[in-house]
Amino acid sequence: MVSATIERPGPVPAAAGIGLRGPHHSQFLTDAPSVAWLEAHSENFFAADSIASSALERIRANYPLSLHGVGLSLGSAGPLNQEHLAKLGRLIERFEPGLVSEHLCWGAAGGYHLNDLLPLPYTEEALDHMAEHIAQVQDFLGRQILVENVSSYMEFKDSTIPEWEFLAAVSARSGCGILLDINNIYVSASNHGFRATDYIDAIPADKVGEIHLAGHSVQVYEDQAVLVDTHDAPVCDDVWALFEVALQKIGPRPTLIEWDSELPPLTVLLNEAQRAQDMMDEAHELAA
Amino acid sequence: MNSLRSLQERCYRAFLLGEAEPLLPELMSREIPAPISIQVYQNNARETYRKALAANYPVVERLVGDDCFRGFALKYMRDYPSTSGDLQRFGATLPDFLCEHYRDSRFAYLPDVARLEWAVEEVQLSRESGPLDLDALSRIEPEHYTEVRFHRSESARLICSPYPILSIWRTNQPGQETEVDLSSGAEHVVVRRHAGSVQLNLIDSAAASLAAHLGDAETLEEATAALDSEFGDGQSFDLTTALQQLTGTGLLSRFTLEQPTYSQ
Repeated sequence: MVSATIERPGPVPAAAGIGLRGPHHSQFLTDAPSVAWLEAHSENFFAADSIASSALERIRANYPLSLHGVGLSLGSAGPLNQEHLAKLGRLIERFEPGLVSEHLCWGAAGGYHLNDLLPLPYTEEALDHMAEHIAQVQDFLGRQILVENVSSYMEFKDSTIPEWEFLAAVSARSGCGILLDINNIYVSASNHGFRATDYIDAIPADKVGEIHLAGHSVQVYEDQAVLVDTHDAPVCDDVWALFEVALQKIGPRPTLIEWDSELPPLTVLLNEAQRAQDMMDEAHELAA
Repeated sequence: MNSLRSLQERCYRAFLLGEAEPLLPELMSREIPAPISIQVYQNNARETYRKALAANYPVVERLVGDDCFRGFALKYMRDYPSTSGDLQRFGATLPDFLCEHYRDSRFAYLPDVARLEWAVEEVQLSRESGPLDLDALSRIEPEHYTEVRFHRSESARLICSPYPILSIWRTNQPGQETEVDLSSGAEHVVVRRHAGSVQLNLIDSAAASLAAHLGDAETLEEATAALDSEFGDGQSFDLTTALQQLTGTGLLSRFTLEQPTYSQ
């Protein structure tokens, strides 16, 4: 376990980082490649004594860290899973991440999990529920979390609030920050026919604590093309363009290249991060 | 208006169990028709659980092929739905599932291969135990040998099979293509976490039998008596050799005596 005397890299900087994935652990342990910060999936390190957790302990000594959860299921009806929350709390205590994030979604019903990031119906009931759960999480952890917008492939008839207003309201009510996933905005905008820039314009810039960039794929169902957030490809040109819009509106933030499936060599992720960093530097110069 | 709970339960049944009809009236059909929306999420669920199982059971996937693996992954996710937001331990009951469906088929060895793969997963997630303290063991007075109780390592598992499961596992690693003779006999495998990596080692049938008794927390005397009875007349049981295998492969990590107690 960590003692208070261990000195670690501090806050996550407003620079480009990458997602830390298992197949790349050994390269981080031996080569310590240059990147501003790393983000790890919280649940992958819930087993405190695992080989992966031992690796993260050593990697953490060299990089600022963000912990990104995918399984707390903040928007599911019923109470929060206290066991999951307790594991997250122990993880945060051990690794002292600069940022902690989860999703604006649900993923469990009736005691069973779908292990997916499912969109909510954007209703007053769901807004109350989500804000209450986030407040409970923040009280338990004793810190602010960031909440990320998810990609969507369905719309509920019950929804009465645009997603961007819902996300802003969740942040205002609970005090959480926003993790703005540009690729998810692009995917949902393409699937549901709204303007991605309207979404970005509606998000309060001062609440955005992190930005995600990722690749997606096009899947065809009965001649219907659907964009799906698969994290298995480079960031596409349209999403890079949208990132530029976000930089102008929001300013530089810790920005992550996410890649989970069909994982390429580490250099590919580092090159994507460098491209994001170059755009951030350029936006900073223009603003100066 | 539906309650959040009711809507989510309908989604769950549509996406995981294929019961789409009750959800259809709740979805918009603007850019994406509602039936297509449901298909996308059904496909996401199938892919999520197939990938989670494939991550923990790559050899099983390679043995049965992609189509067959997709088929039983779909059935497994419905028969044994996930109960956690943490997918790392998803698939713990796959060996039992395979036993139900493949016990009498040409893939009868598959459940034991799956047990071996799950053992590999488990030891990666476990706390690494130190080695047995052989110095302390050597200091025990001979008259107390029979009172020793050995204890299994938290980071080691023993998988016994009538099939050559370690040979199957090794020849189905990436880049390996050799054939395994399924009639080549039983293999008993100790899976152990050691120095931050996973090791797999064979032990013989005598050592596996001893391990089974010691695992029941019998003293060495009780285990030896039981084994003498099992092996019967005319067969010798070499306790020293069997014990060396169990300590050498790391299956046993500590021992206790009534008085005094020694531990690692």
